[in-house]
Amino acid sequence: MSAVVQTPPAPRVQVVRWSRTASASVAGFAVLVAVAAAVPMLFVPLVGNRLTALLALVVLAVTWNALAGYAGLVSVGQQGFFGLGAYAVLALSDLGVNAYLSVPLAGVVCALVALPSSLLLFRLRAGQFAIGTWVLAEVFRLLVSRVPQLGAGTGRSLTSTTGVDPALRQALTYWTALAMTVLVLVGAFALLRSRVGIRLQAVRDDENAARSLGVGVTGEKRLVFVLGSGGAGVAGAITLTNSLTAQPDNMFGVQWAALMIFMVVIGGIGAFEGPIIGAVLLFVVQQLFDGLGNWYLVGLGVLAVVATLSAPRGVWGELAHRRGWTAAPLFHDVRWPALPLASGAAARHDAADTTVREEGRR
Amino acid sequence: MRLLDAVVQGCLLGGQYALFAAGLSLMFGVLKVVNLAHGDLGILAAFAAIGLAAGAGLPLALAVGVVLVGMLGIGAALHAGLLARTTGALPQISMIATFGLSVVIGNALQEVFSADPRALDLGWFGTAGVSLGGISVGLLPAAVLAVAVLALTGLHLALTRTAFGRRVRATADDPGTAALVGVDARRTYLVVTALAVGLAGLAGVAYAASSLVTPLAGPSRLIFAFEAVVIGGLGSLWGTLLGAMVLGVAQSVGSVVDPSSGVLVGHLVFLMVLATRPAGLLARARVRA
Amino acid sequence: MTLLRVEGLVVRHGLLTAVREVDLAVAPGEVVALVGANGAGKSTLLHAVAGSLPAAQGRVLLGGEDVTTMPAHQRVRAGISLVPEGRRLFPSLSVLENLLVGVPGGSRAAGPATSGLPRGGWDVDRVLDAFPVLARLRDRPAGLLSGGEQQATAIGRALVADPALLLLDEVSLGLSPAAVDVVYASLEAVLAGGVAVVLVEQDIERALRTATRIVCLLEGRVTRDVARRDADRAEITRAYFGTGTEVPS
Repeated sequence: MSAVVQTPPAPRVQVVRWSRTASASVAGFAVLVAVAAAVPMLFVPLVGNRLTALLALVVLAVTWNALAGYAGLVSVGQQGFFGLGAYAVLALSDLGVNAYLSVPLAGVVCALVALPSSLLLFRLRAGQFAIGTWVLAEVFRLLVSRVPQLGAGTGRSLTSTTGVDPALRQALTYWTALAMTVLVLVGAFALLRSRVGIRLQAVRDDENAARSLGVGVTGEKRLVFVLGSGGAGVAGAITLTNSLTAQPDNMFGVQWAALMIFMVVIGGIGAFEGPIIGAVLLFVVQQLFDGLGNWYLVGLGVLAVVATLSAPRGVWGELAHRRGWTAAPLFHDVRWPALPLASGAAARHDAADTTVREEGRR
Repeated sequence: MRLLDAVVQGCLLGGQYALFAAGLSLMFGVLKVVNLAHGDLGILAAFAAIGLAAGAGLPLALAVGVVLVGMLGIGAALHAGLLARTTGALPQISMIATFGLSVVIGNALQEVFSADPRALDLGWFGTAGVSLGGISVGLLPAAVLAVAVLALTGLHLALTRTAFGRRVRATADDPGTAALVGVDARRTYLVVTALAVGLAGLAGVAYAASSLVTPLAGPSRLIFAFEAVVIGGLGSLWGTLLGAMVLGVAQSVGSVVDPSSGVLVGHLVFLMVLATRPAGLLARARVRA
Repeated sequence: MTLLRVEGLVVRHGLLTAVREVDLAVAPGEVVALVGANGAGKSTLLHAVAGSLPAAQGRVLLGGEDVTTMPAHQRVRAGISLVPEGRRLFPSLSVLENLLVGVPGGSRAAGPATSGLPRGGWDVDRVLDAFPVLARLRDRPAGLLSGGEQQATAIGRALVADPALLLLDEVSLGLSPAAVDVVYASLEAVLAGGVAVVLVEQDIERALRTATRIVCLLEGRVTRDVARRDADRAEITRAYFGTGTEVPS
C-alpha cells in the first residue's frame, strides 16, 4: 500500500506520502471503530453516555485544530456554532425531523451560517479574528435567548426522543455520534491531505515564501472555516442528543472554547493526531477532577499556558518530533540521491543522501 | 428626553470602555498581539482594589495606587514570562497562551471571591450627580470619562512627542531594524505591555467603582473594548474614544427600546460597522498607537 | 590599531552555511568594499558584525573587546551602525523622527575599550548639514520619500549614533543613477570624517573608486583581500564571478 510518485527527469526525486506505520494506523483505526460500534451491546448505558461525550470532544478538537493548526484561524467563538448546532436539533425536531437525522443536518445548518459569517469575520486580521468570532458567538447566544419557543434564557429539553426506551436511545445516540465522528475524522483527513491542506500548510509554515510562490489561501481558509464550524455544530448536536437539555449560557459558553484550545494545545497543534490524543486526555482529566468546579478549569488553563511555553508541539508533536513518528500520513517525504549543484559547490554538502521532510511541524 | 438622556449616559459609559480599549489597542498596535486576558486583568485589579480597601481596610487612594503599581509589574511579568517566551512556535501561540491566562484568572477569582457581585465603595462621590437641563449626570461616570480622555491624550502625547514614543513607534513598524539603530525592542515591548496592563488595571478599578463586578466579567470587558477599537478604527486613539462612545450610546439607547437587548444592539452596531466600514469610522493608516 | 577584527566567523541560515570561517580586520578610517556574487555571504557578514544574525562559530571584536554575544542594539552604542539593504525606514515616522530614533539614549553602554574609539563626531545637526535634502524634508513621513531621499535618511539615521564603524549594505540598489551619484557625493563627507566603513556594492567600478581596500567573497569565504592600489580590475571581476583559480589570501 504505497503511493510513490516519480518525477521524471533526473536526478531521481521521490515524493513519499505513505508509510508502513500509516497502513498500521489506518488498520488500527478501522478495528477501533468496529470495536467502538459494539460498545452499547457490551456495557451499561452510563458508559455509552460518557463515550458519546468523548466523541463530541474528539469532533470539537479535530475541527478546531483544522482551523487554528492548519488554516491559522484562531477562533475563540466556535462555541457559537456548537450552541447553534445543539439548538438546531431542538428546532428541527420541533419541525418533525428525526432527532438523530437532525444531527448531521445541524452541521449543515451551521456550515451555511458560517459562510456569510466568514464574509464579515475575514475582514479582521489574525488576533482580531479571534475576538470577532467571540462576538458572533455572543450574538448567537443573545438571539437564541430571545426565542421563547426554544426556551429563551432558561433553556428547554429535547422531547422527541423521550418515548424511546432509554437503553436504545443511549445506543442510538452513541451510534450517531460514532458515525459523525468517523465522518469528521475521515473528512478532515481527506481535506488536509488534499491540495487545500497542502496550500494551507505552506502558508502556515512560511507565509512570505508561500506568497512569493503565488500561493494565496483565502478561499481555502474560508472552506476550512465553513466545514470546521459545521463540525463544531455537529459536536453541539451530539452533546444535546446525549444530555437532552439545552440552556443558552451553557451551550454558547466560552468554556467550550477553553476546552477546544486545551485539547489541541496539549495534544499537539497542527498535527492530525494531536487533538485526538488531547480529547482523550481531557476526557480522562474530566472523569478524575470534574467535581472540583472552578479549580479544575484553573488547572486546565495553567496546563495550557505551560504547554505553550515548554512543549508548544503538544504531547503528540513532541513524541513525533523526537521519535519520528507519524500515524496519519499527511506528510510529503521528498527523497533525492544528491543535490544537483554547480560543480565546486557540490562537495561542500555534507550529506550525499538528503531527506527533507516537508511537513512543517515535524 | 429619555432618548437624549440615554445618549448622554451612553457617552459616559463610553468612557469606561475607552479605558479598557486604550491598553488593548496599544498592545495590539505595538506587539501585534491580542491579549485575550486583557479584560480579566482589569477584573483582577478591580477585585484586588476591593480586597485591599474593603477587606484589608486600606485607604481607598492607597489601595488603588498599590493595585496600579502592581498591575504594571504584572504586565512586565506577562511579557517576560509569557509573551517573550512563546516566539518561534506557531505565530498565534502567544494569543492562545493569553486565552489560557484568561481562563485561569477568571476562575481563580471566582473560587477566591465567590460569584457574588461586588463594588468598590467610593462613598458620597459614587452616587453624587448634577442635573443639567433635566438630565442627571453622575459625577463618577463623568470623572471616569475625564480619566479616559486624559489617559488617551497622555498616551497620544507620549507616543508622538517623546523619545520613548519614537522608539515604540519604530519598534511597531519594524522591530528588527529598530534593533539595528540601537533600540532594545524587547525592553520596549516589556514597557508597552506593562503600560497596557496598567491601563487595564485602571479601567478595572473604574469599572468596579461605577457598577457591580463579578469575577467572570473579564471576557465581556474584552469584547466591548475590542468593539470600541474596531468601530473607531485601528491605529487611531481618537477613533478608539469615538468607538467607545458609539458602543456606549448603542447599548444605552438599545436598553431604552428594550431593557434586555442593550448588549445585543451594541454587538449589532459593531457588525454593521464591520460590514460597511471595516477600517473603522476614523481609519488612519499612518499613525499607530 | 585594529578597529574591527573578525576571527573564524561562521554564520548559518538554518541548514545553509552562508559565511564560512571568515577572517577580516578593519583599521580606523579604512573604507573596505566587500565584493562578490549574489549569495556570496556579503550581507550575512555585515549582519553578523552588526549583531542581527548570530555567529555559529568564531568571534567579532570591536576595539579589542569581544562583542560576539552582544545584541544588535548594544553594538550600536558600542560603535557599529548598519545601513540595511532596502533602507528599511520606519514609514510611520517623519524624516526627523527616523533620525532621532537613532540617537542613543543615556550613556554609552559598552565597556571602556569601545568608548575611546575614533568616531566622526556625528549628531543630528551635522547630519542635517551634510544632507541638505533631509533638512528640507524633515517633517515628511518617511513612507512618502523617493528612493534617494530614503537612502539619505537611512544613512543619516545610522550616522546620528556617531559610529566608529559604518556598515553600508547595497546603498545604490534600486536607485536611479542620478540618485546614486547624490548618495555617494554625500558619503564623501562621511568618508572624510574618519569613520571606518565596510560597504557592499554590486557596482565594481563604484567600489574600486570609493574603497581603500577590496575584499572578495565567494561562497562564504574570503578569496581576495587587497589594497585598492594593488587591485587589478580584471582579477576582481573574476573573483566576483567566481571563475578562474582560487588564490588563498
